[in-house]
Amino acid sequence: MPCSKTLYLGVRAFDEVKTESKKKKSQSKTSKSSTMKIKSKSSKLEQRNKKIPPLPSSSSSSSNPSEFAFAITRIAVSQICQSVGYRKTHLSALETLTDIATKYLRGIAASASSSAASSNRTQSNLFDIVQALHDLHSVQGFPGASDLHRTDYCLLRSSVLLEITNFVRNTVETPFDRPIPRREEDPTEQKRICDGCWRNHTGAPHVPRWLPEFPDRSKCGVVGSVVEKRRKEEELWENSLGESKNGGGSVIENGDVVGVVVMKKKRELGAKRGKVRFRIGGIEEVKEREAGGGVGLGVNFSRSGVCRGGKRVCLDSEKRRNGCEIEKFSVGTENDDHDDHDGNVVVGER
Amino acid sequence: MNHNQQSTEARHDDDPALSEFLASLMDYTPTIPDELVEHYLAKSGFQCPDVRLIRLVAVATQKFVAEVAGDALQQCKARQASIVKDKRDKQQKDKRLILTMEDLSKALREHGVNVKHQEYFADSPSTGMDPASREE
Repeated sequence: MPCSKTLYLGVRAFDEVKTESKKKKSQSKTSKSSTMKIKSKSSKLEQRNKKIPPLPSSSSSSSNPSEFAFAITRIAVSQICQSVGYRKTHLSALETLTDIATKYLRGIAASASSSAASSNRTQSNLFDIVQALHDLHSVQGFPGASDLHRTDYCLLRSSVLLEITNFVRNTVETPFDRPIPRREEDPTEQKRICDGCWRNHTGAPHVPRWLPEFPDRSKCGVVGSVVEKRRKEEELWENSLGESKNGGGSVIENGDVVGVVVMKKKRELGAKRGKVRFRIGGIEEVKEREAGGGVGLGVNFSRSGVCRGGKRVCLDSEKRRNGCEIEKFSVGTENDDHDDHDGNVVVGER
Repeated sequence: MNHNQQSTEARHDDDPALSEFLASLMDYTPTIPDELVEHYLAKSGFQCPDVRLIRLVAVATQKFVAEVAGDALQQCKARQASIVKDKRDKQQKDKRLILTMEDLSKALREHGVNVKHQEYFADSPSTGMDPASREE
């Protein structure tokens, strides 16, 4: 006999989770209460259980979520074996079968999600699952497998799906024996676990829910402060998704010289927009500006974007970095050269 | 025979049958709990808000496990039937219907899984020792 350890199905698995949830008592109190329920429910089973020597503690300890999931799967698999007709099992055989069941489950998921991704979707649907089942059953073969390449083949007529339908119809329903404690109740606990399967609660529609949570803004150091600074004046793009504002931009006044219209990037542009006009002192200056690529060279930029000495207009570099869009700049040159030689720049707002 | 008849029947009107089946999954509770399936699905990047599809995956897995276990049970019964009767009577009490690696690996081979297991596998340091010397 390759393995001398023989277990009663189902019962032992309960016992293991019991010991394991006792260990987790300090972490989550909900599991303890559900353990009590099962104890009363399966008292008859426990009487049989007393004959069996306890397992070594190393095999029953589960410290991380994947081992916990494995323990749950083992209970489910042992219940299935029990429903098939087995009464006892070797531990190694049960664990092998549990492992295979997990791999099968993950195989379906990986295959379905990759076929969803290959058709430019993030969410999988029934067709992806049927395709994944075909992939996994192709080793053994299934009726109708030779027709898969035909163009008029309908995935919904798949014999694999039909077999599952018959299985559901003909099999006695054996639900899982106990409620599974969710560990999301404790918020501190949830932050600690970054397993990839906990939902994020940002609420933004474009963030997939399986992604881990965003880090706290306050803990981001320098980047956080930049973000905070920016948010005084603007809104993040994802925040403006919910309500569609069609109000104009904010006018940033700086002294009495410049009023630059800064349009927020919106989803739809306003129907009618005014012309932004610059009048700059000399026509030579404008020509030089057009040739030289706009921003003056070697000139001391003032914060308002206007350099009095050079009579040049530049974009405010800080505002550009913030990602907002300067709506329209049309630099108009007037014919009369001799007015406004003191460098006044007139910027019309919309 | 019965199975074939059913499948041809369903083939004629597959659409209502399929939607009916999916609707019945709302009430059906698979042995593999939803939370567990969701956990593994999320780990593999599968994203789907529909409970019925999650249950479909659960049912598919349950069917697979049940098939493997059923095959192993047949192996087990066939092996025991071949044993001579007087020996069988002696072994009947403790050895009937135990899921062993031997049967399981045969059953899994039919499903395309090759299981190689060690000839002797010690679960604990005390395995194989004299039963009297064990502390239990």
